[in-house]
Amino acid sequence: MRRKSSLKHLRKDWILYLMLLPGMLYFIIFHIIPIVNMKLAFQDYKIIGDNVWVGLKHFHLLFSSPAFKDVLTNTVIISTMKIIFIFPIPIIVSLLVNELRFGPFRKYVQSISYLPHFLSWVVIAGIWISLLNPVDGGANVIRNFFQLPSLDYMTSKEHIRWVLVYSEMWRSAGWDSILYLAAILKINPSLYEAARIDGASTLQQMRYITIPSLMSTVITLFILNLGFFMSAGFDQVFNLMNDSVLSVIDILDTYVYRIGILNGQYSYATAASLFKGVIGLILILGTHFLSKRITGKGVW
Amino acid sequence: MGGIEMKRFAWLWLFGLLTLFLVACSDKAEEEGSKPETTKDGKTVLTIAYKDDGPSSEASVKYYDALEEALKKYRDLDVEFNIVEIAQGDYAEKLNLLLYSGEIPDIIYFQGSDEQIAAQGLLEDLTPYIEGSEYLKDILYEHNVTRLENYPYLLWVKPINHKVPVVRTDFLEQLTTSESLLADPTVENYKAFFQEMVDKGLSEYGVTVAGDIAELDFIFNRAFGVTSTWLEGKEGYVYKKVSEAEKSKLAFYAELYAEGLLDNQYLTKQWDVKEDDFYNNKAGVIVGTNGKVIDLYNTRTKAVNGESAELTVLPSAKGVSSGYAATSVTKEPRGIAISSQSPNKNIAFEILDFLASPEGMKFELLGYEGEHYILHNGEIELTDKFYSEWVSRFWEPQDVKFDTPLSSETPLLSPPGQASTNAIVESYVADNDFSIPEEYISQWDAMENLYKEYAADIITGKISIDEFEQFVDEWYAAGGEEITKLANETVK
Amino acid sequence: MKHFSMSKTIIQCILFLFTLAVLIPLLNILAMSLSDPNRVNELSGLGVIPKGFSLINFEIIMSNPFILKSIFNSVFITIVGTLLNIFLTAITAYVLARTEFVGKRLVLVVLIAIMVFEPSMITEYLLMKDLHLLNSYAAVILYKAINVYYLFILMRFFQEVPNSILEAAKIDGAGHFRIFTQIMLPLSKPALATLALFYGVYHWNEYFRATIYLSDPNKWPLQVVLRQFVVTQDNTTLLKGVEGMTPELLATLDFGSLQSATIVVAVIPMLLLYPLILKYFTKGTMDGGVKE
Repeated sequence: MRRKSSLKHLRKDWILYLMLLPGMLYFIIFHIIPIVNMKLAFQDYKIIGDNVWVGLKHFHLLFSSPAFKDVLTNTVIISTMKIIFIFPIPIIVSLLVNELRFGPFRKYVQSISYLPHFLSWVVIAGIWISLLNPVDGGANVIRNFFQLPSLDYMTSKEHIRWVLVYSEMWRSAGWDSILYLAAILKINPSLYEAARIDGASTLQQMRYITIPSLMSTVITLFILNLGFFMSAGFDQVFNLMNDSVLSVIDILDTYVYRIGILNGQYSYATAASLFKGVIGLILILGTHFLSKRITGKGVW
Repeated sequence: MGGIEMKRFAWLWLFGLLTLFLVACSDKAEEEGSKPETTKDGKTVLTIAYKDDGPSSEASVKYYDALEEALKKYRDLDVEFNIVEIAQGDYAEKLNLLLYSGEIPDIIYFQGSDEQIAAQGLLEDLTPYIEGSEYLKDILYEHNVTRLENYPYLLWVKPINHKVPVVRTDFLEQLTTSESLLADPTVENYKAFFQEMVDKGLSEYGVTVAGDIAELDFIFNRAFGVTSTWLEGKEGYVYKKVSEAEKSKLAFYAELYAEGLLDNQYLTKQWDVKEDDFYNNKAGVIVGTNGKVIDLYNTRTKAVNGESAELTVLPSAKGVSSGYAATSVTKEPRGIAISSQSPNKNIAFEILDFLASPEGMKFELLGYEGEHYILHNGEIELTDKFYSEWVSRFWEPQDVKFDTPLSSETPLLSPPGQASTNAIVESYVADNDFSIPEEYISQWDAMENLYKEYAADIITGKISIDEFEQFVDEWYAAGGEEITKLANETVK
Repeated sequence: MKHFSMSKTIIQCILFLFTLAVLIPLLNILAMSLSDPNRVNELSGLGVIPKGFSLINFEIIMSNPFILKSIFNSVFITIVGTLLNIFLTAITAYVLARTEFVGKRLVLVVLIAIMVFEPSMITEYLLMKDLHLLNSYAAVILYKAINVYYLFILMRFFQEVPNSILEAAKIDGAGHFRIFTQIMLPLSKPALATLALFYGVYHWNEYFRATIYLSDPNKWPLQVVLRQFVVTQDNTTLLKGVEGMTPELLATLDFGSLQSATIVVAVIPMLLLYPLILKYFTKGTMDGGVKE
């Protein structure tokens, strides 16, 4: 596309700019302005009167506290575990569901697997705590069946992070697979026809047709999720925490909540948000450009 | 669909959307941002924020209307209340937003997060008002006085809130260890009591708590010598949680846990499951806040287990000392504040004072005549409606005398509820804790969490009690040294 | 051919077990809500059949004066919100996905920044206040009118529409808007349906912001009203908060089953939408495309 003079460009594609306008307006009003106001992280908030500039005071408070290192470590470990173990699952689920014929069973599987996502973590925590109950919880009933002794998962430092991973998986595997299914549906069916005629097995079809076609979606989602690396799931951790395992699953957000939000320390919370955002931004942009160089695909 | 139709459809969609959107926007606020009227038809308008009250709740509106009437009648005050609507469940968070955005009600009920607001000078110092009050200064509890001295922004004239252990009376009567427990509630007797309850099959375990051992501490802390937040040692004050006394206490809890007398699920137990456990007799004893809550437990357990299940309040354990707990007097943890920005401060306080007067007390504690109480044979009899719905919002002084005596058949609280409050008031002793300064907040959080984790691990048997020393060392290293030094300078 | 059906069966088994893992706890919740409160303790963690039968939990919930209005409010917010979301997201995604313009890269980076930076609640609240949107549905609907994450996903889908189709349309003289409405949208039905579902559920489950921005209880959506039955602190709150609640009635209730009932009421309306959504997940959406 040759770049004509700006005015001519504008006149020709005015409709394009018009189409972009509502979105841009929304982002400017509801996002850019608040993000600029995150300068609150460098101020002390005064209800009456102007805010006072305090420079890096809140950041210093955040980084210098002894708990920060521990909390950061937990956040990184938990996020990494979730990416490695949870991220591939919806892809696999979508591949499996795709193999089902369009019928009542497929509808049943799709409907049911989406359900946990509707529940809040307060509810899910209750479900999982009772499931993992060492006395009569479902998980231990199964363990006992296989002659294994009962385990108190919820208070075990070794296992609690896995509880986070598995409960999150339980909640979102089905839901996240919807996106991949939508992507799979776009694949031209004639490709499958041709492959079947050539004698390709189910597995081979998956490997050579479905998966490559999904790749760009997978990469996009993977990179985008990296933006939330520092979040690690506040609602979930908050509801599943207990004294025994605090040191192992206390994440940045729960820590900031205790210290900051409960005391109306909005500046402190904003400083933490800024920190999280910067890390997320670097991760996304870094992996995006790297991925584009290697695979030619990225977020855009 | 053909091309033209598609295009029309798209435009239609667009317009439909815009219309809907405009409709949605048209339910805008009634200029909420501006300052509310301070006078209206000659009446003073007072904005009040109180948890669980709001213009949508009929009961709230009725209450405040009645209060307006009473104020007019007894004090000739023309007041109109403007209740702030705060959705139930997130009072603290929404109140914070309200306050931080600059909208400060005249009268505010706080249940935390008030220090920041006070630090910004937005809460009125109530000392001069109280000194000049007609009735309020006479109904203050001992702890109110000290707390107001330290932090004069919150007022809350109510009996102390601590937790007491309760057990079903019919259980009590069946156990041989009850007598010795009630007469001489030593730690050993408590343990024997729990043991017998389990042995006789009355309950699955002796006692349960919701999430951490703070509730157990109400029973046992003082018996082991954990009598206040800072304990006097040979070299000065020591924080209670790193003391030898604490060690023996934790060892005892670990025993209870190991022998199944302490609910082995207590760490993940949520408060409603804890209560259910009690009603279903999985737990023989639970610990609950004195007063209305014990009342509720009483009603509930009687409904589930019969009249004989009426609750008995158990004494606190006796040992080095006794009593349910030392009471912190640094400040009221919750209470009523008046905004320093309010143009109606004096009237606001007058209302608070009225509620402390005999007429005000009657209104506050008894409800509406005819509905919540009736006059019968020269006595006040409380109706069923009173017990089921009346909650006093403001003051509950110690010994209230009404102009007409209250019938003994209808006391304000059920016997166990009243007994629990009496027990707490009897054992009142002031604590010597102090507010942790801002620069130490995050360290203190880490130190407290360290304790919680070690305590949980020791009690559940994951580590042995001998590791307590290691905890103490870690605690001091994590900031304990500085805080202890600070304590020795501050605590008298 | 045997090979063929074996793998299909294995797949079916795996998926079936997977759905069981999801279904059983949920049926357990349903069973709890329908059980007789006095017998509900007999229900084990994996039980799916109610013990006794009682509708009392639902009666209590439905007796709340705001409940019916709140369902209507939730429906309103969800429909208007989702329509707005889809419209804005699609139109913005189209421009960003299929056109080039000066500064586009910057816009994309800024969008990523918007996605990862979360301003604090007070900033957001003050903004809504300055826009005079407090106590209005607009605040709740507009808060996440375009979810950047979904925006990028839709962009990805739009980018995969073959160029040949668009070129053909351009040659036919179609302008951008026509291409958008007559080609992009119809070809992206599964993606749009997916996003509609995501946005829809998000609106339906919105609780926190509704409590902050809607002070008039007549405007409260379902989740807010239901939360009044799930007590977060202690029983006395429930006493005060629920109309007509007495200690005797409170005594006969089981909190667990009351909470289960609120979950059921919250989720059921969404379930009714399933057939509609699943309709878009059938084959044949590429029909009418260009033959390669």
